[in-house]
Amino acid sequence: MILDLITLALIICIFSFLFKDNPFFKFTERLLVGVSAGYGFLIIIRDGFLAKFVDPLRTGDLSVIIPGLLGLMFVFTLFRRTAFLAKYPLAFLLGTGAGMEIGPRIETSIIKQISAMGSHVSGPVEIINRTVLFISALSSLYYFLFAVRKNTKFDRFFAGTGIVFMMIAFGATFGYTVMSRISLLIDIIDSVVLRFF
Amino acid sequence: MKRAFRKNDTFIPEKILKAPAALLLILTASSSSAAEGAEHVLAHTETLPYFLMLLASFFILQTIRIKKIKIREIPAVRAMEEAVGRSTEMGKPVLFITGLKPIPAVSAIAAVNILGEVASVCASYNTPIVSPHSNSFTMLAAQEEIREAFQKKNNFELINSSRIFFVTDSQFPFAASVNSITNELKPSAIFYMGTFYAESLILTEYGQSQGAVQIAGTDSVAQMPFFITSCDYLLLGEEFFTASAIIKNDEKELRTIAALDAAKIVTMVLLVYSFARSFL
Repeated sequence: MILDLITLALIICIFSFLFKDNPFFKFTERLLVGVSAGYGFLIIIRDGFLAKFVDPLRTGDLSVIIPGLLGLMFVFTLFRRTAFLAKYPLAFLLGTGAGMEIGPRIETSIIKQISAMGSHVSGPVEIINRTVLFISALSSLYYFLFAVRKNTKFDRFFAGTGIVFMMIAFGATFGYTVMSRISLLIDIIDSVVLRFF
Repeated sequence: MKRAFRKNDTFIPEKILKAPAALLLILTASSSSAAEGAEHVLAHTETLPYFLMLLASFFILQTIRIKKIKIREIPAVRAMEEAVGRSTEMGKPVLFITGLKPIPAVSAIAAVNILGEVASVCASYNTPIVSPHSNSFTMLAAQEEIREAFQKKNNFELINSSRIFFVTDSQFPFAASVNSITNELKPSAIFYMGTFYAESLILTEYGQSQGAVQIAGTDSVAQMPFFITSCDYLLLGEEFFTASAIIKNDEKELRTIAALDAAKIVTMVLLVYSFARSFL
């Protein structure tokens, strides 16, 4: 019951911002930031440092020393003279991260979509759907050409078509998300009403 | 359209337009027909990303012969300097948010690149820049970029007063903290660059209520509608990745963008082929 009351008080504090900025809202906001930062720190120590570095070392796995040393190099940023050493693990992260992301991203965002476009269609509805999909994909892709586009009538029309299709998609996403946010609000109000009234 | 193929044209890279035709020739040479070649490419979806990357590298090499590459104007890029100028006039800092995805992500790398360019303008205009982060790696890269930008402009005074710090890696507490900073500093220009999730509308709505000029750039398709409705300018997807090269006006990076255009044309050719195939 006490926990429920605290929850209710914090919800009211957050909603008080709708009236105007006030100390109760600020307190709740800072409480949320502080709790999450503290929790995050503990999780990193437990699931990162202890589980992935200390425990393997205890079991004799020396392969963790290299990533451990790379991680340790970040500490040098605290000192002005040795701060440059942090650039090396950062460069390693940037290189591996970009390399690992680009391949799968091309496959999921481009190749799979192109392959799906080639699946057989039958019936007038499917043909219309596929044609709309094709024109929207092609015109949207055309909009994102930067160096080869010319300011001609065709260019403006085709890139404009791409923008129109994108805006329709964005509008649909916006409406859908607003609906889900309102359902979240209803859920919170519902839980408060059920608990206390 | 005729102008597109004129010799020594600085806008259309002629070599790049030839590249898709070269691809079709390669496909035709390796198969009995172009259609069979395209079929072969589409059938091997696992190796295709690497094939496209090799193709993009080939296109980059092709762009070396082009004298000057001109990239089409993006309003959001032009507005960046104006936004910093507005902050300078009002005597307020610039706020830069780099999104929730940490630094190995391509979007975070692009965000830090843009941050470097915005910091460079800030250093010229003698305007402090504040950047709270949700990831410590991104924060380190951002600190490095900002320090370098200010040092290049010989503006050593503002390096210390510019604040680049870590807040928390949790999504909504980070949003709450950024809103609190916005409320406290009342920045006149706010930049949102990187990957954002459900917190995007919370951040931008609050920034708009404070009367700040807001410029966003993201690859999160689901969040673009919220940036469109609540920000003054938006760098849509691919525009976000090219923005830093356009601001820098660096020839090498512009060549890469032109080469990627050629890769996109190849994708469009494959798309047309794939669409035609669906009726067979």
